[in-house]
Amino acid sequence: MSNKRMFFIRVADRPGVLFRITSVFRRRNFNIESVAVGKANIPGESKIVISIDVDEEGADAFARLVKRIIDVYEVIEAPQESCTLRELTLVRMESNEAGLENVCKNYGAKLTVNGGVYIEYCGEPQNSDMLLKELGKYKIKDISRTGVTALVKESGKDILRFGH
Amino acid sequence: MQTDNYMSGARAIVRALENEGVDVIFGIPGGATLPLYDALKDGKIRHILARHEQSASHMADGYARASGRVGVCSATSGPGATNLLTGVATAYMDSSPVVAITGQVAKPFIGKDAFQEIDTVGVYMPVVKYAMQPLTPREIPESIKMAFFISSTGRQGPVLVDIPKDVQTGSDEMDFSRGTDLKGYETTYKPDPARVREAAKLILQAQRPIILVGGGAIKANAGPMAVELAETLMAPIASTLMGKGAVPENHFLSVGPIGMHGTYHANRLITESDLVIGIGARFSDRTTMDAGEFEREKMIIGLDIDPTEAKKNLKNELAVTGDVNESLAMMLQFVKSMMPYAENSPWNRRLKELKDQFEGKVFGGQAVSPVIIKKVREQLADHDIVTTEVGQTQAWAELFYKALKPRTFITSGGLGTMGFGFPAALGAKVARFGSNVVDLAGDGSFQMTSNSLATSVKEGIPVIVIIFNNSTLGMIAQWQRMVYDNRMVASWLGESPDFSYLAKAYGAEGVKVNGTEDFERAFKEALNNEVTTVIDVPIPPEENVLPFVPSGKSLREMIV
Repeated sequence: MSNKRMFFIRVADRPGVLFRITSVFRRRNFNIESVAVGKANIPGESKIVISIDVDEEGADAFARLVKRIIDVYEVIEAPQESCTLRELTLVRMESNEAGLENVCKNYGAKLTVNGGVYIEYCGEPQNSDMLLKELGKYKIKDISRTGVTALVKESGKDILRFGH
Repeated sequence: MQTDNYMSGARAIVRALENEGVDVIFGIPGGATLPLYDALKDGKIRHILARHEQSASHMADGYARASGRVGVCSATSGPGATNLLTGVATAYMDSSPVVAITGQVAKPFIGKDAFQEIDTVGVYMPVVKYAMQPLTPREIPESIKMAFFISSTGRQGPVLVDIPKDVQTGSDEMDFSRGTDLKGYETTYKPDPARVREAAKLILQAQRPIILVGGGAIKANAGPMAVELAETLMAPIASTLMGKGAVPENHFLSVGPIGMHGTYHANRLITESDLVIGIGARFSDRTTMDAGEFEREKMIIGLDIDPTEAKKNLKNELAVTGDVNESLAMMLQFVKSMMPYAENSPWNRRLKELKDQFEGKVFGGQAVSPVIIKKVREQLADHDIVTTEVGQTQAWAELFYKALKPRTFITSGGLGTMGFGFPAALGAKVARFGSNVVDLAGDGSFQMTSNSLATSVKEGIPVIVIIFNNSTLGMIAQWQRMVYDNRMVASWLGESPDFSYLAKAYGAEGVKVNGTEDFERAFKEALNNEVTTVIDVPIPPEENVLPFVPSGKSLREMIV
């Protein structure tokens, strides 16, 4: 079973917050898989979504250490199964080769030909992986992925909450 | 129109510090703090000039630990800030309330590798409770207010305020009445009554409970209530190194510290216990030694103000988060309503038996250090203060100095910073001028900050430094003898300098003693001296501190 877990961290919108949080993981030599930061629905707040490979005990320890940071309002930590996951992937292709259009159609990705050949795809990260594997058969020029962002499912299990 | 509140950032720093009741700053000026120092000239705050920034932060820390008030230190940018860091990290590890103010290069130079520029906030972040860099003069009053509030509340700790030079020189209308915006920050957690009841049940079920007071018990002044709990249960009271003095160590239930250099009977009792009631103790590796062995066949109750400490190191812990005094009061209520009086239980008899046999016992043959430490205790009043350096002397002091009041035993427990004791003693003396302050030092540690002698003489801060002089890095030598098969490497310091001459060179008093009786005479004299006195006491280099639990072993595997 995957040990991938998501951290949802509500923080004050101040400089240095992301550094403080990532330092907690770095100190114990954990590699963060992805970080997504964005403004939250409350003014002055941001939300940081972190994906990391860590067991439950380690995740609990991390959640506590992150909550210790003064600019952190709330930490929610959950296994990936309990979350709805999405990632945006942008790909630039060499050219509009035959077959590309079909691949995109199969995945529900958007193909744009306008001063270059671009593909954009939004979906679960493993689907992005599969799409990129398919596209690997063609000539890829560049790839950018946003990293995963997520929301906890209403029906999610094993969700830990610290703070308010 | 300009009001009285229109002023430079530097003046605003001073005003904001005065508003917090600051009476003293320990520091060294530099290029990036010149505006601040210029403003200090017109203020009411005393500045104590250190001779190295590390000592400035230790002084502020010593001041904080002795008084319970926030200690303030300051340094310039770059090397000033990096020097100051060791003392700030020391304060962080022992949750001591210190505010560090550093100068920074002017904003247009930040990030340009300017002269004496480092990313101070970036460097400090992992070792402070919070770090701030006001970028306009107007932000200064709120930054200083926040720094003091964060440093002194909840689980205390150091806070950095890094202030660019142009923010100090720029002027604006200042608002000193503005509150602080810290919505994520919780300072007090109410203990959960259900949890406390659960803990009380554990206590009632326990046959062999033991109380463990930590540094948090001193900060919360939870000693009296810990004693009340102990007397209700007739349970032994042990402490961590940081908890020394929380409960008077001459109390009939006190067994002294546990841990790597805990007393024999305390380590035995906690090993034999079936319930540990931790009060403001974080169950650090030096306290529990092998954590799995420590909690084997027992339950742990952990009262702590910091929710992130709950179950951090031990699995069998029932954590109660909240002000430990409040938690204790609630717990006592439950326990007292249900508790049968437990005098003369087999557990209480075991306590008496071990205590009678081992209290004050010196293991491993004659040693000079314990004798000296006991003589120091005899001469000092209950409220007098000792600080320690780090290493063998610290361990001897842990074992043989009986702290009788909170805030009278000051030591670097978490970071283990050599060179801490002397400047911390100066800070403590400034905070509590009516008390004698004695630094129990090794010759190795003392040399790391001995230039603070200049500060003590020039600023009129008389303390006593007792150098347990074995011409070695004693604890390193002990490990090399006991753990590294007698392979002695780089632990011999030799007989240099002559500390009595060194002291005299600074204008302090220095004396080299011959034997323990000579020491007693010199110490009595030192207590009457009006300048700092350094007493150099020769110690045989082969002395080992015992008991000793090597790292990786459990408390039951003491070497005696």
